Amino acid sequence: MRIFYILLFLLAKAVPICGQPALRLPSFADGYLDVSANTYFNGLFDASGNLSLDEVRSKAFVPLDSFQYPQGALRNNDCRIWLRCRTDSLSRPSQDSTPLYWFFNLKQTMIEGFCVDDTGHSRSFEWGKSVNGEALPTLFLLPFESSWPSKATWYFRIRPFPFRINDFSPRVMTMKGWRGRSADRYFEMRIAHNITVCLTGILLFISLFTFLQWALYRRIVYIYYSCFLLACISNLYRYEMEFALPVTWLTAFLKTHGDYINIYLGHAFYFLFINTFLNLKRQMPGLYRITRWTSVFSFFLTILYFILFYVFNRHDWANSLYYSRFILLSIGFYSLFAIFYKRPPFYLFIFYGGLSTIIGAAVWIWSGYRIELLGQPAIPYANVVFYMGLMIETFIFLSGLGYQFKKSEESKRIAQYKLLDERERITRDLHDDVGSTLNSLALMSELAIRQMEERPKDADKTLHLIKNTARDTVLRISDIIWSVNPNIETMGDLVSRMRNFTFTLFSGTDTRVRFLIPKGLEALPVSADKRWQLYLIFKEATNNTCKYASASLLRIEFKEEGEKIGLSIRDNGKGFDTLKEPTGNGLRTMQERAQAFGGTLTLHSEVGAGAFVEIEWLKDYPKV
Amino acid sequence: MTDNKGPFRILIVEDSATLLESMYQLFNGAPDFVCVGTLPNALDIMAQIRVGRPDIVLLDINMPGINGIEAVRQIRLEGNPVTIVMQTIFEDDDKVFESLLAGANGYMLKSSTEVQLLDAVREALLGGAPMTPSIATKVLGFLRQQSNANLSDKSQLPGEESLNDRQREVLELLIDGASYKMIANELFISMDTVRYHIKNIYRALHINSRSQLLRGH
Repeated sequence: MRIFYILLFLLAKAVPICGQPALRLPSFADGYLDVSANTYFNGLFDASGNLSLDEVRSKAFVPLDSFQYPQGALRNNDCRIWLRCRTDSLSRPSQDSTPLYWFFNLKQTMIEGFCVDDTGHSRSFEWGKSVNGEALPTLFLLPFESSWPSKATWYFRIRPFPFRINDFSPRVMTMKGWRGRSADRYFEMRIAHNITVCLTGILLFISLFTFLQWALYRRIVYIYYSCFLLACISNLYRYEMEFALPVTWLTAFLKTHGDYINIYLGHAFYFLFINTFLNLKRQMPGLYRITRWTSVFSFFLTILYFILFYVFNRHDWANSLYYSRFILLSIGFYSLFAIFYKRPPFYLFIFYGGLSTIIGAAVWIWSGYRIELLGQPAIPYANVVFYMGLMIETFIFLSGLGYQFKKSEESKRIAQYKLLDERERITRDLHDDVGSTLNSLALMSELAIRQMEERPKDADKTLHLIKNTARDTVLRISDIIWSVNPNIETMGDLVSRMRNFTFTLFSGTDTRVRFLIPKGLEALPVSADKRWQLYLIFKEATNNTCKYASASLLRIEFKEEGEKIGLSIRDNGKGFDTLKEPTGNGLRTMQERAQAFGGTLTLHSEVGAGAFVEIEWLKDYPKV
Repeated sequence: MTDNKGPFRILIVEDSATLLESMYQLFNGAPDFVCVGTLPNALDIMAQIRVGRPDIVLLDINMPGINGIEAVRQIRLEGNPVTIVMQTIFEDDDKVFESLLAGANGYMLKSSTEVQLLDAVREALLGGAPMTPSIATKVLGFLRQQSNANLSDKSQLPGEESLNDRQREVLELLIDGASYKMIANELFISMDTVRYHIKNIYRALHINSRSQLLRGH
C-alpha cells in the first residue's frame, strides 16, 4: 500500500515538474495551409511607418478570409491544422523602431507557433493577449521582434486557451464575422477566472505572511518557502492574470519568459525548503549533498537562461534547456524515494502537502490534454482544483512549520528541565561532599587552635588531618567542575580523565594498568550525568584495587555491543568474598550510582581470584 | 635552561591574591629560589621580565586581560628562552596542551602539594615536565597530523623531526595506562631513561609546533 502511495505521488509530481514542452512540434499529418506573408504585410504601414488600421481592415485578412477550419472542427476543439507561411523579405517599416505585426482576428484563442530560419535555427512563440481587452473581438497583434529572422518559414496554429471552458469560437474571420457567445457560458468562464484570481491573491498574501514569519522567528526555512510560493504564483499569474491586468513590463516579461525563470527558481527554492524543513543535513547527509547541488543547478539554469536569451539571443536553445527538467525530475524522484524510505521526522507534511498540489495539477493538466490531444471538452473548473490543491499544500506546509517550531520549543523546555536536574545534582554534591568537609575543616581548625594552646603535640596531628581533608576537597571540587564542563561530551573525554586518574593513583605501585578501548568508542557521546556517575564508580573500583588488592595487573576494558556499552574493571589481586566482606558503603554506592543512570552493575570476586566489576548501559545518541 | 647554581629567580603571575601570597611564601621559603616579582595579571609581563630577569616564570592560564597562553606566545615571540611553567586546575584541559605548543616548558597543578609544586618547577628547569596520558594522547595526535602534512607537501622544514620508535613506544604505553615505573619495567630501561625520552618528546613537540607556525597553519 505504501509503495502504491509513493508511486502515485511520484507520477503526479512528474506532471507539474515537467510541464509542457517549450516547443510543440506540429503534426503535419493533419495538413497545413500555405499563406503568403508578403501579400498581406505589404502596404500595412503608411509612409511614416505608422500602422494604418484601414489598411489592416481592407487588406490584411483577405487571404485568411478564404480559409475556414473544417466544419465542426472548431466546436470540437480540433485545431490541429497549421498555417505555414514563408517570408523571404519581411517588409519592415521605414523606421526600425516601429514593430511589425502579424494580424489575426480571434477571440478566446491563442496563437502558438514557431519559425525555422535558413540556418536551421528555430524558436517558438505564443501569444494570447488581445489588444483591446477581453470583451471585444479584436486583432491579435504579434509584436515583431528585431531578433526575428526575415528569411524563415513560419508555422502557426490557432488554439483555445488550454485551461478555458469548452465553449469557444476560434475562427479566423473578419471583423464582421464575429458572433458573440452565449451569456451563461460567458459567466461560467468569468466565475472560474475570478476564483483563480482570488486564489492567486490569497497565495500572494500567504507568501508575504510567510516572509513576515521569517522576520518574527528568523528561521531561513520561511524565506525559502516564501520564495517558492512567489515563483509558483508568478508562473500562474502568467496564465491567469495577464488577461485581467494591463500590459506592463512585468506582465510582458512574465508572459514571454516566465516559464523558464519561475520553474527553475521554484525548483531551487523547493529543494532548499525540503533541505531545511526535514533537516536533511543531519538526517540524511548523502541526500543533502544531492539536493543542495540540485538547487545550485537550478539557480545556474536560471542564469544560463538569462544569458542565452538576452545576451546571445539563442531562443532555439529553449528546447535543449527543456530537457534539464528531466534531470531535475529524476533527482526529485530519487530524493522522494529516499525520504520515504528513511522517514525523517515531519516527512508526512511533505507527503500530504505535495499530494494535494499534485492531485490538483493532475486534474488541470489532464483537462489540458483532453483539449489538446483527445479533442474533448475541458474539465470545468480544472484550474480551480489546481489552485485549491496548492492552497491546501500551503496550509499543510505552514502548519508543519508551526508544528516543528512547537516541537523544538518543547525540546528546549525538556533540555531546560534536564539542566535543572543537573543543577540539583551539583547542588546536592556540593552540599554533601564539599559543604560537610568544609564544615569539618572549620571545626578541626578550631580544635587545632585550642590544641596549640593546650597540647601543642596533638595539634600537629590535627593539622595533618586538616591538610589531607583540604586536598581531598580540592580534588572533589575539580571532579564536580569537570562533570559540568559543557565542552566535555564524548566518551573520549571520560576515558582521558580515567587514564589520568589511574596514572596518578598507580604511579608508585607495581600494578600495570591496561586500557582496552575499541575503535570509534571515544567519539561516542555521553551525557553529563552518566559521565559523572561512571567516573565515580570507576574511581571507587580502582581505589579499592589500589588499596586492598595488591594486584599486578588491572584491566580496564570498554566494549560496544549494539545499543550497549560495557565497562569492565578486572584485577588479578587478592580478591574478597562478596558474601562475607562487609565492604558496605563503597559497593552499595557503586550499585546506586549505576542504577541512577540506568546502568546495571555486576560484581564478582573470590578470595585469591581477583575482583571484577562490570557496568553496562545504553548508548547516548547525538543531539538532534 | 640556566647554568647558574645560585638561587633561581622566579616570577609568579597569578590573579588570585591568596594563592599568589602563599606561592610567594612557598618559593621565598625554599632555599634554592628567590622571588623577583609577583604580578596579578600578564599585561606588563614583558617589562617585568626585562627588569627582574627571572630564570623561571610561573604563569596562570586563566587570567583577566591576556591569558597565559597569549603571554607565553608574547614571551617566545621576543625570543626569550626563560623557563615557563603553567599553573592549572585541570590537567586534561586543552589549554595546557595549547600552552605547551605555544612554548611553555611544563605545567603544575594548583592542587598539588608543596613538595610536588617545588618538584614540578625543578623538573621544568631541568627541561623535563610530567607527561600524563591525556597529554600523551594529544602529543601523538599532533605529531601524526604533522607527519601527514609532511607527506602531503614534501617540504620538510629544517629542524623538524618526528619521533623515533622508542619515544613512540613510551607515548603509546602511557596512553595504554602504564605508569613511568611500569614503562621502565616493560622496556627494560631505568626511570631516568623514561624521563629522558619524555624530555625529548617535548623537545620534538616544541620544534614541530614552531615549524607549524612557520608553515602558516
